[in-house]
Amino acid sequence: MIDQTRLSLLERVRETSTGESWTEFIEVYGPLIRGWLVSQGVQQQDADDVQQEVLTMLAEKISTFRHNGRRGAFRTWLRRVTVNRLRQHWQARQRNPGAHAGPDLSELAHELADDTSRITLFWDKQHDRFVLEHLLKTLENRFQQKSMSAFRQIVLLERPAREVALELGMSLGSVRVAQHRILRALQDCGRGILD
Amino acid sequence: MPRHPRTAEFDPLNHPTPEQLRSWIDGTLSVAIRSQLENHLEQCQACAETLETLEPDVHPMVIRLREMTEDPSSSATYHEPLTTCWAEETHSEPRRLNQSADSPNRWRLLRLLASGGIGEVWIAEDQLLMRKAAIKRLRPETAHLPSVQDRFLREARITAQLTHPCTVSVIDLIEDGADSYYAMTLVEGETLREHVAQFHRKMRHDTDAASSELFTLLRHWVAVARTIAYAHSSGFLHRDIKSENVVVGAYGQVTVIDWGLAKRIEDTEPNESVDLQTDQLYPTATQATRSGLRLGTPPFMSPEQAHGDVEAVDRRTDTYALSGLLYEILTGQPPFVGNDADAVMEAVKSQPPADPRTLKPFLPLRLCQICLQGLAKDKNDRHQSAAVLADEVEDWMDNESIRLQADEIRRKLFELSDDIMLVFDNTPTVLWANSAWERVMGWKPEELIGKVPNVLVHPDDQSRDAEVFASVSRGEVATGMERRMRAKDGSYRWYSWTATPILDEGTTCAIGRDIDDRVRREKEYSAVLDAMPDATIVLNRDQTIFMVNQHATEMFHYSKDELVGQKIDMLLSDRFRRVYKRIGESYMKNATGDPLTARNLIARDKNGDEFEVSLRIRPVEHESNMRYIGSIRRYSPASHVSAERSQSAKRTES
Repeated sequence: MIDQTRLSLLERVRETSTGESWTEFIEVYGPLIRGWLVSQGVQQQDADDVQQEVLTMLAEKISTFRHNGRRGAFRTWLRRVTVNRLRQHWQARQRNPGAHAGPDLSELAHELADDTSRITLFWDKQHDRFVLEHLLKTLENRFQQKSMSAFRQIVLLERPAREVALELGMSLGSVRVAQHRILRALQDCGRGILD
Repeated sequence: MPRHPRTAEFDPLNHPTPEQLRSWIDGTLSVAIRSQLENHLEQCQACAETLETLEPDVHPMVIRLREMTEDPSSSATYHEPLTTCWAEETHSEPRRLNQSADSPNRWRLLRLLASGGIGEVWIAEDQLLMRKAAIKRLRPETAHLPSVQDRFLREARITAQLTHPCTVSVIDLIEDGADSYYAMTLVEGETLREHVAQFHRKMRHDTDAASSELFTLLRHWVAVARTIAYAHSSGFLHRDIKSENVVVGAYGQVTVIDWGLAKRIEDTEPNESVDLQTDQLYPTATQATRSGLRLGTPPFMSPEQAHGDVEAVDRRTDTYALSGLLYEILTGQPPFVGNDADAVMEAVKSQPPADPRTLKPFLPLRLCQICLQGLAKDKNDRHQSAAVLADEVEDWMDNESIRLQADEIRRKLFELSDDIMLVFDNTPTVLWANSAWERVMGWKPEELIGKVPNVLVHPDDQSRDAEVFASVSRGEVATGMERRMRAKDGSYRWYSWTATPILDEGTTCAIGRDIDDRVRREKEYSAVLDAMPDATIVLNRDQTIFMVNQHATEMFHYSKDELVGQKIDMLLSDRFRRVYKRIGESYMKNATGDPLTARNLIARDKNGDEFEVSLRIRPVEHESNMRYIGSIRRYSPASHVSAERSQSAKRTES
């Protein structure tokens, strides 16, 4: 039997295209995509539709995703999928002009398709933060609270290890060991999506 | 001291080697011994300390995670989701060019750029001039409030008053109650806050490359200070200077945005006085009716603002915030940090800011002094205008760049020199080596960095090095250390070293000059001297002994070291010294090629025994110096006369 905790989220989703892993995947990526669209001024209704379309697409295509070795390959792939869904959604809208408000989605899609635009930059950041937060939450079941706290303080808040050790009442070596164990676990479960 | 086994196996009773710790950090340590090592590390303080020296923070994944979680609250304050939309025009007929310039149809909204206090900024298309612009309008939640509308219009009009390369230009204003909006030039770029964060992240890994970027940030800062000075001269205070309100374009152009809290200097509006401590960052509608809300956000809030003393707010309140911005550039954080606004405000009122140098020890003293003066609690102790503050920072930059240039020239000279050089600290560990090492010795400078300074010294020549290191660490200059240095090909050359401590820095600069030829010649020369039949001494012009041969040390029972550098008359009996001195001096002064011969001299050895000798001195040129070779011959008590005579006869023949 495969040790589930050693597999990355992406690997688990691919192994089982339905079931728990897929639910977990949707739990992470649904709010991410929707929240992102809303933050760009997209109306709720549109955001819900586009999010649905993107997730459906992901379910179909995730097995074809290949990491090309470039940093952020997954989020770029996801961004491309979203760009296409946005365009199609906007075209459908144009054919059916009603009492519509909200920004020009084709403009948004255009900017999002540009690898160097500020919107893309923001997309990348949002993606990484969101996924990271989720993965850290799942790791909370596997590590002691103190260890998680040491990791967050040293790595994410960039505080000196010595200070953190003192605060948590741990030895200096223990906080470093905690830091590196969690770092490894995070590398394991984020493989494919965070690298 | 932990013992460090060299084997790849890790014995839990022993301590891991630095190599093992390093590969543990890298994640390349074998899984088999990983958990043993981790258990050990949790217990062993010594190894934890060793680990700290191996930079366990600088792991690619750590750097990556930090980039990921870096605060994106940037120019684009994207984080507030927009719940309602305002875009009736989105579906209007495309581009009717005959529209009047004040028509609302001129602007087509493209997307939300940022949203803040009372307004939100959209990127829009100007359908009249066919370009992009920024539209600022009221946030729907508070748009209906008259006080908010007033503030919004005042902000638009103040922004329009400012025409400076570093401010935005207002293009259009539509005054229509809750639907009021104004259009301005679109500023694209990253906020200064992002630049500061990038700089400090880089600084952690590459101090050299980053230090030139400090200058770039300071230039941006000066541009901001000059813009504020301009605003003051036009009669406006900004009152909300912070790194998020400075946008740096792709070509380094700086724009000071968000004049939403700006006010006329003459204006005295007592109703702006508000107890900031009770204000929430995101106010309810009723709180929003109170004007003066969110005046100055905590990071660079001045003591007078923290006291709620609106009367006291003047130009020097802005110079305080400019100094706060400078502080952030220097240290990567605001002068006061705390868990909540209350704690920060309390610190602003009562605590002195931490000296930037306690946070970043490499920071230049003068720059920190300027910064701290600007953060004085009492307005009268600060710089009295933004222009004065900008001048001081610019003066420092001018002087610094002159100094850097001089450093650069000196560094180039060092690189051109054939002398080999090292800079080392007091541990002692090499911090820098010049490129001559590679040219003359075959070592790359990187190969020496981190090693002990005498790593390449011949083992036989190292005995006095500890003493040298001790004396330079006390701040004393050490000169004339002659050492054989190992070249990459394994051969040795002689170098003469001078080590000069650089007192302020706790480092020492050592310069080694190649004396190999000279030392080799001296060695050959001394071999020749030893082969001579008589006791022989080589004298300098001032009659000090330069070299002696083996026979001479045997005759006088002194060692070579005891003789070299002494005057020759130490070898003579007291009563002969004065006579010899006169003869010797006059001979050397008028030196011809002829030898000087003195017979019947009484010499004295180290033990005080006296005996009769003859001394014959003749000049020779050695190493382009004039030297004198003295041959000393001892009379045997019985036959000294005949021996002396036969000797002098031989000389005459030759």
